[in-house]
Amino acid sequence: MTLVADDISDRAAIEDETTHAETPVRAPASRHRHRLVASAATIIVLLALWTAASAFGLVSALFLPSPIAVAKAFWNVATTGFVDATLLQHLVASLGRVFAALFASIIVAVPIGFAIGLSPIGRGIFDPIIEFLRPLPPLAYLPLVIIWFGIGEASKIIVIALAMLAPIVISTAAGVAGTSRDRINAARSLGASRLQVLGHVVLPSAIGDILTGIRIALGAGWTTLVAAELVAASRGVGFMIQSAAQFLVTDVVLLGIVVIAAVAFALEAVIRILQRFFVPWLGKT
Amino acid sequence: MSRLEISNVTAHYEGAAAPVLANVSLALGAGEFVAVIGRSGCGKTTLLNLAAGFAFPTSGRLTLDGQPVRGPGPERAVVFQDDALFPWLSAVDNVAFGLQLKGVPKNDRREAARGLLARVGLAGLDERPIWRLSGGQRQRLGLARALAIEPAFLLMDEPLGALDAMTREHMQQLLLDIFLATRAGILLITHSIEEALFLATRVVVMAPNPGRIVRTLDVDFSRRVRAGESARAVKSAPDFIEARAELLDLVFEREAQ
Ligand SMILES: Nc1ncnc2c1ncn2[C@@H]1O[C@H](COP(=O)(O)OP(=O)(O)O)[C@@H](O)[C@H]1O
Ligand SMILES: [Mg+2]
Repeated sequence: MTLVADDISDRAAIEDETTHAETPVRAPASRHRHRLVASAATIIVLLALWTAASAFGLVSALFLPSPIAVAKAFWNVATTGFVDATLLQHLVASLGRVFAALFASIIVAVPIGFAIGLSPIGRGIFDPIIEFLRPLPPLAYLPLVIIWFGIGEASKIIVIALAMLAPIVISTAAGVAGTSRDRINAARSLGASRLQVLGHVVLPSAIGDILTGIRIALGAGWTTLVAAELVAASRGVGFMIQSAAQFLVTDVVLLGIVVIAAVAFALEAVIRILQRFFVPWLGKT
Repeated sequence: MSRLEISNVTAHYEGAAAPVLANVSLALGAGEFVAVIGRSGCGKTTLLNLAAGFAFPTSGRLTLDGQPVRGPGPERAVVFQDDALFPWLSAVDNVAFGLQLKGVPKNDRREAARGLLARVGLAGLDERPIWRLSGGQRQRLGLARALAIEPAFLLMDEPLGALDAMTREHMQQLLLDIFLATRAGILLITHSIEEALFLATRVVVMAPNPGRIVRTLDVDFSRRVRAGESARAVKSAPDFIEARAELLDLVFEREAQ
């Protein structure tokens, strides 16, 4: 026996708590800036190629209208409209369908995700359904849904909601199953009932994953929506593209594509902001 | 008078042939402070999980006032090794959580929680999100959260592990104060032999493979602190040093084999 430290843990380093508490740590901003510059450059080059291609008549305006023409189309559709509706009205129709479907999907998918994440029986019941639905392209079951529910709004919303179901269920189940054992036990030893554990620990733990599921679902729903509107609709961005294509109004077709991409991008950004607001601790504990 | 009794308990982790704990017996009554020491991996946390009701033994009995333990309960509050705080709640709401479960109105429970935050040296950090606290601050918050429900037993897994030396001494004093004020039965897992001797009324030494108790030592150094001796004086008294040497021998002898 010699003089050894009184410390018999294998955790040798004892953290000095004061140094860690207040030091703000930031990721180097320059990397992020470099990326943004590169992305901006890509967009500018593509726009320049596009402009050049149409300006020098490399491609007929019928096939590839110039960016200016698309900008003009944007102005026209936004102010006077296209096939009986302004761009805003088309957008509202499309977004209305997506959010109605999202609402329906969340109401069904979150409880199913909880059932799968919480109990083997729940997993046994719902896994086959979700695994059947998940790989199906929504357009494969769209005709069936139309046979069952007609060509009205209901069919479109149902198809979009079905496309959104699997991502939300799977993410919710992962979040629920991934709830920290210690946190559940902490709540139980503080006197929490089963229901209180669910509401006070499991649900807040899973919020981040549920939002991730919603983000993926919105992406899936948005692509499905546009396709669904190609089939039967009287308003909507997808419908607008379809009608424009029939009359060879290519600038409106391009405009529609750009709008769809922009909305998808915006939806994604909004969910990410929500995630930062609701789950600010993510990656920090 | 509450009494938690662990009798001849053997436990296995699922799928493992060898037991993680073998024939462990330990009793914890009100007014007792039991410190458990032993090298990493000897089953200290497992023992605490059994006492808390988070896990169940393969054989043997666990009773609380003579009744079999069937799960966790608010009379046995736990302070976790990895804090296990709720990041969606502010510091003060983490502490108030147990009272919230009981339906205590928001203002009352927050007031009680603020008092406890001050007690563990976190006054003024009420609204601080917990991911902006240091490891040591989080452990103290975990202690405050457990104290808030005024438990009959306090089960603590290395709660002072992440503290620097100064704060650690401060917290040891706090644990003693809490012990004296509440007379709660305390089970403290620690990797510091000195801490165990200084705080406990009984020190239990565990050894691994399988996890078992190899030595139980009744001590009363904390009583001498209470009687007016300074902490420094007690820690450098000949009998303290002798006990410390004996426990060090025990732990390191086992480790060497
Ligand atoms: N969930 C688990 N499954 C299987 N083995 C485990 C589990 N948790 C701990 N063990 C093993 O049981 C033994 C005791 O672990 P633990 O009680 O955490 O020890 P200590 O707290 O004393 O460090 C270790 O050998 C560890 O590897
Ligand atoms: Mg441990």
